[in-house]
Formats: sequence, C-alpha cells, structure tokens
Amino acid sequence: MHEMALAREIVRLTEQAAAEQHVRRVTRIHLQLGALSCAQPDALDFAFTACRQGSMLGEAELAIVRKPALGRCPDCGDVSEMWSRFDGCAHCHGKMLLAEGGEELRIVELEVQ
Amino acid sequence: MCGTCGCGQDHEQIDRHGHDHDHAHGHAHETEERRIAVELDLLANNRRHAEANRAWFRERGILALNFMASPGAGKTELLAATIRMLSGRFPVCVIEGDQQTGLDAARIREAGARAHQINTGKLCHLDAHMVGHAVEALQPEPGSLLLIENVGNLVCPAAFDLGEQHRVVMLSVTEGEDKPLKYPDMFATASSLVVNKCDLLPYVNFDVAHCLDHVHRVHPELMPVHRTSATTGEGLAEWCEWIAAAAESLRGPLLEEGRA
Repeated sequence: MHEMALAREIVRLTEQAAAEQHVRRVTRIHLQLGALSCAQPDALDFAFTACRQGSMLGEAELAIVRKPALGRCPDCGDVSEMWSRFDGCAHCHGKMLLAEGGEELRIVELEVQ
Repeated sequence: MCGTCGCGQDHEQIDRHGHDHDHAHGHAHETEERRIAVELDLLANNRRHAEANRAWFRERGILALNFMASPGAGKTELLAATIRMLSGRFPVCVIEGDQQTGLDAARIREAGARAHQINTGKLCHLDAHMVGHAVEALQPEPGSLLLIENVGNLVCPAAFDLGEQHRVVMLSVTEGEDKPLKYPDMFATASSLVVNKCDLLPYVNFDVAHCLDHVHRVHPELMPVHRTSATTGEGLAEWCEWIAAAAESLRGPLLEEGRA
C-alpha cells in the first residue's frame, strides 16, 4: 500500500502550490498516472480520501487520467501504445515491446476557488 | 486586487475597503473557479533525497545495494553469508528495513557487520529520506559496502529509488517461477537478479530457465543473474566476486588518492 505514501505527497504538494498561488480552496486535482507506474488508481483514490482529512483539501476530488507508455517493437520497429508490461506489437503481433515513458505520477492541473 | 482570495485585477484596490467580505463587488467568491496548470511529480522529493544519497556514496567510493524480495526469500541469510565472505576485504554496513523488531539487525551483527535497523511501522517500503538518516547514524567508511535490506515485499519498494548503485531483486525457488509475471514492476526496475535456495531445486517444481524467460519478458535488457544457496554455499563465491568487482571499481579512485 505504497499508495498511502503517494497520497500524502499529493496532499503536501497541492497544499504547497495552493499556498504559493494564494488559493483558498482546491476542488479537483488532475493527476496523470502512467500505465506502467507503480500505483493502482483505485488504491490511490482510496488513500487520497483518507489523507485529505484535516487538510485544506476538504472535499477535493482526485481526477486520475491514465497515460499509456509507448512501446517500440524490436522486431518490426513499429511503436504501439502500452497499457501493461505484457502488451505486444499492434503491427506484427510480436510478443515484446521496449517501453518508453508510462511511469508518470504527476499532478498536472488544479481546479481552485 | 482582492486581498482575500487574489481575484480581480491588480489595479483594483479592493483589499482595504472597510467592510466584511461577504459583500458583492461584481463577483461571487464562492463560485469563482479557475484552473492552474502545474507540474508536480509525486516522486520528485524522494528522487532528490535519492540523488543526495547517491552523491554521498559516490564521493566516498561506497557501493550501496538495495535488496528486495518477498518475506522469506532468504535476504537476511544471504546477506549474513555475504558478510562472512567479504568482511575481510571490505568494511560492511547493513541497513535493515522491517515493519517491526530488531531481529534482522541482530543476525547481521552476529555475522560481523555494523547494522542499523529501520522500523517502518505501518509503511511497506523504505524511502530515500529514511535511508539518508540511517546512513547518518551508521557513518559507513569510505570504500565500504552498504547493503540495504528493504522491507520484504515485491510491490511497494519498486517505486522508490534509495540512491543505490544496484537494485538487486531476489526470488527463491520455493516461491514459484511465475513471480516475475505476477510482480512485473519489481522485476522491471531490477538491475541484478538472485535466484536463492537453489539447493532445494531437486525437491520443488521450479524450472530456472523458465523463470528467466519470465524475467526477460518484463525486463528485456540483460542483467546479471546469480544462482545461490546461503545454506550450502552454492554460487556464493561468484556472487561475492560480482559484488567485490563493483565495489573495487568505486573504491579504486579513492585508493589512488589515498582516502580509503
């Protein structure tokens, strides 16, 4: 359940950004989550709901957008979207792809009042 | 500009206008929403601590290895055997991560190394900040070997860089050859693999070649693979030589400068 540590970091970073921007209330946090990152969206959302208690994030929602990695096929060179480490090549159906990116764990936008 | 919420234009001096803030001056505070574009990486803080650890190790020619495996894979036993084999050649320090107890640190001290136990409490992994403090407490010597035994867990430690030179993932032959497929993130982030308890291969249904195929599936680049048994000593000499070679390459420049 390392999602708890990540959720605490979401609260800490958002509070810091809100203070810098003189924001009173954050209503939604947009989080980009790479498909190959080590976090499970449901678990992260659950942990965030627990961590926002007692912080200035009150009822803030977490909007998670999953992002695929790009996988290059070593056989045909084609690039396919990868949503898991086991995705194969969409072009030649090769079994293995070499992943680039897909490990994002990044807050990209805050909706504030 | 409104001094309470930052709304409005800069030239609008409405921050000292002598009345309570539940007023109406052309906008309603409760409903005014805006979006702020940010770029906040959840792992950036850990990465900063990890880079500081890495720089500290590099400066002192210390080889730091992060050991990750399931509970019961034999991490502490392999570490103890490694210490017995290498402590004549390198000073060895160990950071032990467990949720509770100092039992593992005691086993390590018995094997002849200095040890610092981190109890993570409810946390399921070590992070770079905890390791930084453990290093402060241990003060490993220049040119030494620092073995970090992470919390027994094949999921959570995968996400956290500790500043180590190598991420050593261990699995034991009693666990099943499909572990790399079940816990792909851990095996994908590894830089070295240990297959432990090899003395039990005749008694279990575990095909090493099959297991390595699974590792290759989630970790397409080649990495060093070590087959060991801490009980019989099988593979330990080769394993320790691999560590010694890595440690020597870091210690070499220090020896030339006369610092280790």
